[in-house]
Amino acid sequence: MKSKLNICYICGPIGDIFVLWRFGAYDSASTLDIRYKAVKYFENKDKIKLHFKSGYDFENFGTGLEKSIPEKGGIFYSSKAKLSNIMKKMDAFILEFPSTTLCEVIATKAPILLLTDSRAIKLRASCETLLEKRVFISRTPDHFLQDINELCQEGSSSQFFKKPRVSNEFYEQFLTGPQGNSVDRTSSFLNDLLV
Amino acid sequence: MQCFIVHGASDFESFEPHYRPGIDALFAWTTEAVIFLRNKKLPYLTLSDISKKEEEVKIDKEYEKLKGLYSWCHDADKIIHQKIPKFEKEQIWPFTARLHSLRFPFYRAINELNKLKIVRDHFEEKVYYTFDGKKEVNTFYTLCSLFKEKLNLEEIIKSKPQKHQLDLTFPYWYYPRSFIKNFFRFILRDRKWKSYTSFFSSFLSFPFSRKKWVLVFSHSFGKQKILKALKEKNKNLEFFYWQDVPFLKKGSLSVDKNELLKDLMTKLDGHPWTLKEGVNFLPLFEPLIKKVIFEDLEKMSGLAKTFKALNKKFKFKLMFTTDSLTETDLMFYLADREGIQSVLALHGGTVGLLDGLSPSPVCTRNLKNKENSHYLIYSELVKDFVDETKEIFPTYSANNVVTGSAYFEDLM
Repeated sequence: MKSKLNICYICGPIGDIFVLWRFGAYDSASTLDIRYKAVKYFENKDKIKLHFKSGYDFENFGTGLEKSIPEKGGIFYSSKAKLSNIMKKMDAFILEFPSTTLCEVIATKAPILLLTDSRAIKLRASCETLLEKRVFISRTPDHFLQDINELCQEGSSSQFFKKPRVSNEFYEQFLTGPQGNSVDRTSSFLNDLLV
Repeated sequence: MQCFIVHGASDFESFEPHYRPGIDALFAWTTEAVIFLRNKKLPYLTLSDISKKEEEVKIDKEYEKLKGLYSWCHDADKIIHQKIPKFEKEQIWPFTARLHSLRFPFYRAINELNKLKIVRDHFEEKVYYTFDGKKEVNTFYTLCSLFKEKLNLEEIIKSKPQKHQLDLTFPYWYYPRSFIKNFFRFILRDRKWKSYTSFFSSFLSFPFSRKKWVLVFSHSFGKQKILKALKEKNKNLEFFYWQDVPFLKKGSLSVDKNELLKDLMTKLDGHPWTLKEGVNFLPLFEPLIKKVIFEDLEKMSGLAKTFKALNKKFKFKLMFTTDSLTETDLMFYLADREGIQSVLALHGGTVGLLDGLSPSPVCTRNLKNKENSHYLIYSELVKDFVDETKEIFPTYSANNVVTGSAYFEDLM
């Protein structure tokens, strides 16, 4: 049996690039504030190991997290590290935002906690229904932090492991289409254009 | 409760004599402010703390924002076309082709203004901002100055600003022009030596082949697999990798750029896009407009010239890209002009997942021959979204085609 649960916290976009993905009453400062609070829950937890995956341009913000996380026993991954190289060994994921990384980690079997603040973004209804079969969605920062706290306190006894959400429907219906065979379909379409 | 907006680490110094601990609020405007206030162990609020719980995203407003920016870019381009008629003839739309990257500064300014209004509405007493003249003038300070009276803001000035350099930025051209820089970037850093050689081999093999040429500009998400499969299906084709073109020269333009800038600033004054709350904030964007005029126009002219010359030689049947860059966006117009089929393959997972997040280059490209342009997307669910978007934007310029995603398929 594994001694520690590997929990991967994945940063959403902040800074100038942020404006393209979030609207309404939300900003980079709020996101960073939530991030600091979230990371705090991982401190002094014997059964949890934090893997902190930073995002775009993270190192330039001077948050100090790249130093403080390893000092407290966690692992810090730079913004250039490829998520697909590390995600298979993770037991759970925490995401601040439903970006491309969400679509990547959904390919694993691990529980996923996701913040989708309705003041900042709006999931399409058709996607939300499918996502909820696979992802634990928090719609406010408070709820998101409560879920992280529960995960850190209870680990593999928490609801995220006890009542797993493992549906592949979102993956099949949103990302690849039920037919699969994307390379062949795409190249056939391009070839038809050349005729 | 009074509110003191902390933008930078040095702002608190100016506020300290006025700030009443336990009574007043410190508002962290930036990530720098969050870091500073946490380190100082001072209590603070963020936008998320004061935004009303019931205030959900207004999707229509997001679409209107993009339409507004398109209308501004289009009007700016029309002014340029009057001054440089060959741009109109050659379908060079400098601002519209730049729209994708111009969203960064333009949206940021609008977001900052909305944020300022939320802060103002939340606090009943005075809202203070400050400025330390040692720093460069930033967007925040400029917006506060412009909307000071309208929003009833209080200013505490430590020292008057010295420099007038705005901090609004936008992504620059993707690849460097010089041969040496290209060499290092593509061969050493990105290890693209295989594709780099295609530029030379294309020219060497050309006289002996009657093959069909596909112009490729792609960096991401394993599209090589698709190109390989395409080659297997059709032996009679070759790929020409645009990013390998090492000698992209600047074009020459006989236009007075100062005059053009003046013209743009005059004619766009009062444009609905830059008129907010009755205040004209076009001056905020002058450095960006200047950058496009003084740095981009000749590059765009050069790119168009190179594109035309290469197409004359290779007679491209198809242009394929996964990227939405200034170069590729301009190339869609050039391909349209030359009657070349163009294809943009979606990469990334947010199109179709979030309402209001439009695939902007496709939405606002407004090509003349829209039927020649194709947008390859992952699934019927994504198609539902982009088809809806197509209805909303008359400028939408692509056939939406479901082909799946090789990248995500491989991950499973």
